[in-house]
Amino acid sequence: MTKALPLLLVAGSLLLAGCGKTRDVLPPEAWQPAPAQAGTGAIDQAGTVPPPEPVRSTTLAGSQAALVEAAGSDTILFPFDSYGLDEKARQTLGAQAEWLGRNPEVRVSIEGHADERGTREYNLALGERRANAAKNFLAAQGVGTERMSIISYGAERPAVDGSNEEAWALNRRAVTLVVSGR
Amino acid sequence: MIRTFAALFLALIAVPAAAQLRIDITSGSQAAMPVAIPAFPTGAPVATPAGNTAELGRQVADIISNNLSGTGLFRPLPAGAFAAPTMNQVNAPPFGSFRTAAAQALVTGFVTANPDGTLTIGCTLYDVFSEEKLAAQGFTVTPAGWRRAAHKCSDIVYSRLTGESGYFDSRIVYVAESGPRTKRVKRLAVMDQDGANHRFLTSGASLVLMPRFSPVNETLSYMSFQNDRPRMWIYNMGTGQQQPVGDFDSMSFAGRFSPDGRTLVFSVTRAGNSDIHAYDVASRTTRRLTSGNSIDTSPSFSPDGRAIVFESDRGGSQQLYVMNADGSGAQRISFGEGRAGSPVWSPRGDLIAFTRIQGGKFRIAVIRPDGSGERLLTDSWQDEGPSWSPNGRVILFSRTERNGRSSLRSIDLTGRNDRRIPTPLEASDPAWGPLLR
Amino acid sequence: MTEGRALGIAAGLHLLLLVALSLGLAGAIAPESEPDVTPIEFLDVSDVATVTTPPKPSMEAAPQDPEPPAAAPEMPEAPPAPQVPSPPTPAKAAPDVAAQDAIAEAVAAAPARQPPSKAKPAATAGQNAALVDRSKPKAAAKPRETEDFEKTVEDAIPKQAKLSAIQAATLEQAIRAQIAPCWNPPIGGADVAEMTAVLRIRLNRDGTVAAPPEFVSQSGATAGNQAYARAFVETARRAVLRCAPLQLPADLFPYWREFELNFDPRLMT
Repeated sequence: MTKALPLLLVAGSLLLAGCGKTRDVLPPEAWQPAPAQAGTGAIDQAGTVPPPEPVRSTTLAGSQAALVEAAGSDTILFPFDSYGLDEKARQTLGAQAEWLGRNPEVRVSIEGHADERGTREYNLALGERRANAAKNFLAAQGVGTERMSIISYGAERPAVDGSNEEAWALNRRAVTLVVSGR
Repeated sequence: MIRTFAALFLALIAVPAAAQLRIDITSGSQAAMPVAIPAFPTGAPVATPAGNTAELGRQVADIISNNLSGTGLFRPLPAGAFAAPTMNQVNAPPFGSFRTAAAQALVTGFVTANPDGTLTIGCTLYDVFSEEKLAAQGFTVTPAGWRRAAHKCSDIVYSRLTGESGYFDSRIVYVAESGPRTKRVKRLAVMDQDGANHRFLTSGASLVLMPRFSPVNETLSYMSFQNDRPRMWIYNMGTGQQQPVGDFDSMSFAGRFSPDGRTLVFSVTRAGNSDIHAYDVASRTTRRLTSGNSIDTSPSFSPDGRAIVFESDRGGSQQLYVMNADGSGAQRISFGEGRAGSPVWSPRGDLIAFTRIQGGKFRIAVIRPDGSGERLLTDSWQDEGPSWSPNGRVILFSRTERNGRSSLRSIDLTGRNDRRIPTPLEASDPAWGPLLR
Repeated sequence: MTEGRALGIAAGLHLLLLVALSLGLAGAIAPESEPDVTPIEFLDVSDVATVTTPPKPSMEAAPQDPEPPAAAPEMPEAPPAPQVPSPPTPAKAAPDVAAQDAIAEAVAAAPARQPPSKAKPAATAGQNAALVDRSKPKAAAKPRETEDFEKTVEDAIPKQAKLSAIQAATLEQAIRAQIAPCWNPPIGGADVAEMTAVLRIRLNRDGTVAAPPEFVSQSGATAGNQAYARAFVETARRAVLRCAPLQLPADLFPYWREFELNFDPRLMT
């Protein structure tokens, strides 16, 4: 906790800075006087509005976007009623592990999900198993278990709305989420 | 005179011969029993905070009619079929008119306002054919509580005519749902068994699941994702007090109270597996009941508190098992095609309701505790999460349709009378509470 | 009084009764039978079939019963009624109707057709006018016989041979067909699979109950299910009161003036 606190503060200030930058709309009172002073009806220099400053988004190191960029995806999918990792899932997790190795300050939460075709209790348990399977794989690749937490949402938070095989396939998943970084 | 004697003599001879005739009646009508429930009379109508007594008399009769017709066992006759008894007729109703209307039973009573501001609601049940008074009971209630008197009267009628205890003076807790499926808002809500007095208990800020009543008091258990920490909570509806159950660093879920309300059983996950634990509410201590590399969940006590039914995939797929309350001697009871989950032991003890998953369908089914006599009760896309009425006669469950809409439904354990329980929003995870005191 | 004379009187009485009944029934049932046909839910249909098979040959086998020939012309009126219960189980209905007709002719028990018309109130929800109509004709349709006449006939019959197997089966069938539709057994109770109740029924000659049904015995009642056991007996008692007056062959009155009914729902669960 003592270590996490400063990190959190840093992350928080970054976030605030980011927010301030994008909010380049002037406060209302700054442009209100302009029309009132226009005696001739022509807009004088003070009333002109400069074009907005350009903003280009940048992937921050240690962010969720950086993870996705490096690993190809933050999500792995599972077959029906299974928590086994297929080749594709292993590849994705392997890349995630590599990235986590390069970003040792990052902590992640792994969310496990199930499709809607199970009882509520069983789905919660199954989601937990999926998250745990991903965590175990990452741990085997050298990611410290103290950097990972897991949580199951069962079928409560589908990625896709729909009651068909395609939607269920996308909803049977484990998602690696960056919870703290730089 | 002699002739009379002769006839009597002959009759005596004839009787024994005829009495040998014994006929088995092995079939009957399953049609609902016609019942007359006219407006309850009052003296001169008196204004009360709940409305005037004449109007209340009508509403009490309506509530009783609604309760009884909802069972599928009774058919309240339309009010026009007979004249409502007057105050003077409550103790000597004109049975002829009710017989003419083909009513088999008559429910009547009265509503009077007392000087102290309370109401007295009388409730009398008659057998229309034998003209016998089968039950009579009065209830004194506050004006705010008049509906409970109507429910209690319904319970008396129901239990006297069926021989089973009633279930109308009871509540249902469930999860109210709103918003898109990917960002569903779920709130705890409680209402009377007939949908009246609906109240939301939580704001929806945290995901909540599987609320369950304690069988003995105004306490609920439920699972909440508050602070991203999915775990069991106990909530006292009377005091508003809430406390987390135990202190686990992993998920705890699927809780259910023991019949005496002293123990809460639920699952705790550990490294991907789920084991059943028992939590002593008073001492706040926890004991683990199952172990192994399997998903053991959905525990539910037998009404005598000696056994627990639960689901486990220890045999390869989700199936039902019964074990002793201390966790020993687990025996599988569900076999056959498909999977079986979310078992709940009937308060009557004779059956276990559960969710049968087979052929791409989720259906409510019942099975005897020894694993025999499995019967499917519903047939739909996704029915799950059964909960018994306090008398073990009716099963509440949630139904999700293919379009994702979910609602509460109930069904008689005979498999008849599948009906929707109206709720203001979409709904799931219903749990029936005990009879109120 | 000779046996021949008694039989003659009996036969004459039957004719009278039949005429009275068919008139009464025609008036009472015809107008309302139509709308009630469909919605009835009624379980005894299959039961009727099984029990009925033996009496089928009764036409030939009942030589001592003089009225079948006389009754035959009257029959066409009645057949539609037995079909009333059939809709819920169409597969089984056809044989039943045939069987029931055979009996009907054999016994001239035109009245046995009454029960279906009685069953309908239970099924037609909210049809209150029909319900009200229904109960009146029963009383009106009852034929009134003089006391003396009754006694004479009654005196005569016990001297006859014992109730034949066919007559017994036929009578049982007629009673069963009338009681079962009126019985709402408490299916779904925890102990229903174990429970039966026997009641003694005493009827007047006009089929009305002479005394409240008397409790004889009950199986399956335990200390734990008293309320259910009581309710169970009451459903049986109510079935009898609700279906009375029963319409049964007058010549067999000595055999049905008192009998026992064993209410056994185990096959229904």
